Amino acid sequence: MTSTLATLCLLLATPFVFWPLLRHWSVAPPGEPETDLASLRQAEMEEVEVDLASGRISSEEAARLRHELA
Amino acid sequence: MWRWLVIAAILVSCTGYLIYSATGSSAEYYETIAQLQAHPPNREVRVLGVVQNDIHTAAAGGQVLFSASQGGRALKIAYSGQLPEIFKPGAQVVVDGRPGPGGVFQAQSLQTKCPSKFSSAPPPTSGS
Amino acid sequence: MFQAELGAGILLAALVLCVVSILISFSAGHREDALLAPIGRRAFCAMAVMIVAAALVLEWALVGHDFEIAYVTEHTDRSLPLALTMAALYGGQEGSLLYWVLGVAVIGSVSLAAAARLGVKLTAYATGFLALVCLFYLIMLVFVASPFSLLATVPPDGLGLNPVLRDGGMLIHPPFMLAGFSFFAIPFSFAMAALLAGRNDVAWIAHTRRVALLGWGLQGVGLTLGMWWAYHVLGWGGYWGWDPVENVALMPWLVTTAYIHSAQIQERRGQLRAWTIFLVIVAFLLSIFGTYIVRSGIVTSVHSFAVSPLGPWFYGFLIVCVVTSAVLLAWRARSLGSPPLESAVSREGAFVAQNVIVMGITAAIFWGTVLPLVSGMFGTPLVVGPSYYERVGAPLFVLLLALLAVGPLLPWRRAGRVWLRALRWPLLAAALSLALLVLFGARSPGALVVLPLLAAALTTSALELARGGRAVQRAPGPWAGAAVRAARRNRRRYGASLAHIGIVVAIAGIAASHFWQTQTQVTLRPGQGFTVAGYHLAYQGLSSQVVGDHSVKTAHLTLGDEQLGPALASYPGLGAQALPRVAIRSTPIADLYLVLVSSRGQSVTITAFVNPLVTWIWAGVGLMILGVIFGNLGGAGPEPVAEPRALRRPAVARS
Repeated sequence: MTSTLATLCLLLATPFVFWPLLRHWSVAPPGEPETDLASLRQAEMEEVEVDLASGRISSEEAARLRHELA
Repeated sequence: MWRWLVIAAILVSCTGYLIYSATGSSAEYYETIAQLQAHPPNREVRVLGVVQNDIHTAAAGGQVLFSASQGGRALKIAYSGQLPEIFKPGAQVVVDGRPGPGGVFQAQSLQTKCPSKFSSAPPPTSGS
Repeated sequence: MFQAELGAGILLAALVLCVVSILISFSAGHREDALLAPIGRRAFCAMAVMIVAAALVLEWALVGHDFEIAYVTEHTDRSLPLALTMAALYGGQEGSLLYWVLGVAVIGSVSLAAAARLGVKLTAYATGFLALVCLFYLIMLVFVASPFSLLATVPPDGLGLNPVLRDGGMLIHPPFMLAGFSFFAIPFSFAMAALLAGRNDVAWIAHTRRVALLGWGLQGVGLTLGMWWAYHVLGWGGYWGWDPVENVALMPWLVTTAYIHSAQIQERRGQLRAWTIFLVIVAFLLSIFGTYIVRSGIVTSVHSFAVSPLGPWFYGFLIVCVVTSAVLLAWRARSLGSPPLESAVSREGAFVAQNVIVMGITAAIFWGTVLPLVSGMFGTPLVVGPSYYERVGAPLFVLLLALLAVGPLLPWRRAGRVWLRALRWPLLAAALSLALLVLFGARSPGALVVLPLLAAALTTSALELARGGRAVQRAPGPWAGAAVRAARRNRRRYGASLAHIGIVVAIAGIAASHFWQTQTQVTLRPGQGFTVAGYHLAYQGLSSQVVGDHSVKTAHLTLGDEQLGPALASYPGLGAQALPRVAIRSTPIADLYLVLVSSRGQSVTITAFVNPLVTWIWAGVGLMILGVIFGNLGGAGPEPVAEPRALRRPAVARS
């Protein structure tokens, strides 16, 4: 009976105690792939702009890639 | 740096001496009844015992005569001061004083070991 | 009837949470993991909540007269007034342990929650250490001394409370005392955490200063209540017996008094860091030592509890604490080095002197308390009585008084001419009072030394307040507003002055009631009277009455128009002996203290004491605590004292 009550109390306490951990995991789940297509396309669009700005691709290449993604 | 150490050393040794001399003049031996009766001391001592059933009060507020036992030996004790409230047969008492005429211990102060503050009954009377 | 299992279950859960907190907190501290650290703290807080719940369950069982639980039976009965029944929560061995850990857990949680800005590592380690302390008590409460253990058969009524304890003092003295004792664990945990984390800045000292002061204040109140209770109830005309239990309660309080001052040097000047940490640790170790002495029964005391099985456990805990602290201190001592003090004749120097004297007094008390134990190992034990403490204490207290007269006037860093000029006022006061004393025929060396010093100390503190008053006068705007602004800005100085005045008043009361107490014992028949120290009393007669479970014999005396009735109360459980009900007539000048010793027919024996200035003791302590509270309210800490040269100054945080 005593141990049962103790376990009950611990179960009650667990969410409170581990709340920061739970919050951390739900906000930034580690290593989960992007499944949203729209955001995937957005990310690739941004990559094109970055490559163009840093000179890795020419503006013709950039225009072609942008056309592909759209 | 050295200045501070020297000052500290002086202060510490003064305090130490104070403690030492005060102990020397005020300390008394805490003896068992057996020790007391074997070697009657000529200075104040402290003795512990359990009050027996023979408490005599000379007059209202006057001297109290009783015997206390410890380790199988009994000691007659006389005390003239105010008795603590828990003083009765079976109570443990601690007395300070010196042996007097007729083997009666003249107590200057008397205190009873209070029944455990954490219980209402007096502690079990210990034989030793 | 399920309260027992509920309480035990909650305590078990608390124990588990405690272990979880320890493991997670130390790991988080080691890795400086900002994610794990709050979890460790939350586990600690959850543990605290559980402990509160367990205490509530115990209280519920007490009030509900649940005699199936051994603790309830041992400390209450149905006839006990509600207040005393509820007070049984902390009145018994197991309950007082629960109360102790309750204090540490709750205040510890608050302190930890507020400590976030001290950094992940430090706060995590502090949580761990605090949880370790609580772990000991929880182990006791779950496995060794459970307040929820059951009796084989349920008795119809409890054993009740010892009649000596059936007094208002029982309601207030233990909770303050135990709480004060327990709070020293919190600064200790932060100190240990700082040592372990290798932090040599002292931001955490400012953070824990308030908790240390809280413990100091509560224990000060507890000590005073104990003195007041002994004075009112025990009937021997005094208030302090230098009993081991009293001594062990006084020592952490004295050490914290030293700490209050050295911490100021640290905050303002960044010096004495190692020493301040040492004081914090020693205060805690003395509090554990105190519980060990009190609960083990190894030293003879009027307060001694029956020899309990807890003694060896507390001894073990004490050893672990001492060894751990010593190791950590030794390991980090070198990194705690701080710039040396510039000049002995300065406020810092005065604080150092105060520390030395106070620690000297503490060492003397410690020696007197452990002497029977130490000497007992080598032969017949030696004990010392009140005369030892007075012989050692008197010169040290005189030195302290002199310091009180001189110290507050000293400036920081280095004293110059201004200080010497300011000294003339207390010197004048001392000379005047000495002259007056000699004129009035006082010859005792005690009086001739102590009273002028008291006058000087009082003058100094009053000067400090007056200086503030003058500043207020010069300030623009209405006087009241300026006074409030000045008080808020210089809170610490005025708080300290007030506290020092309180100390002076209290010492005056102690000195007077000790040196000039008069005592007489008379046996009277109705119609007879007697005189003591100028009071003329007449005895009218003796009356008896039965009140509830005891009978009371009251001797009716008159002093002029006033009636005084010292009495004797007989309880069936005490046999022939009766408890005195002291009659005290208090005035600011003196207490007339009457004890009915015995009676035969209508003839009574009365012991009468006249104790001068006893009310000053209570008033002085009250002022002292008020002063410390006032001095430490609010946010802004002191300004660090400006350096003339560019010295490497360690980070000093505002509290």
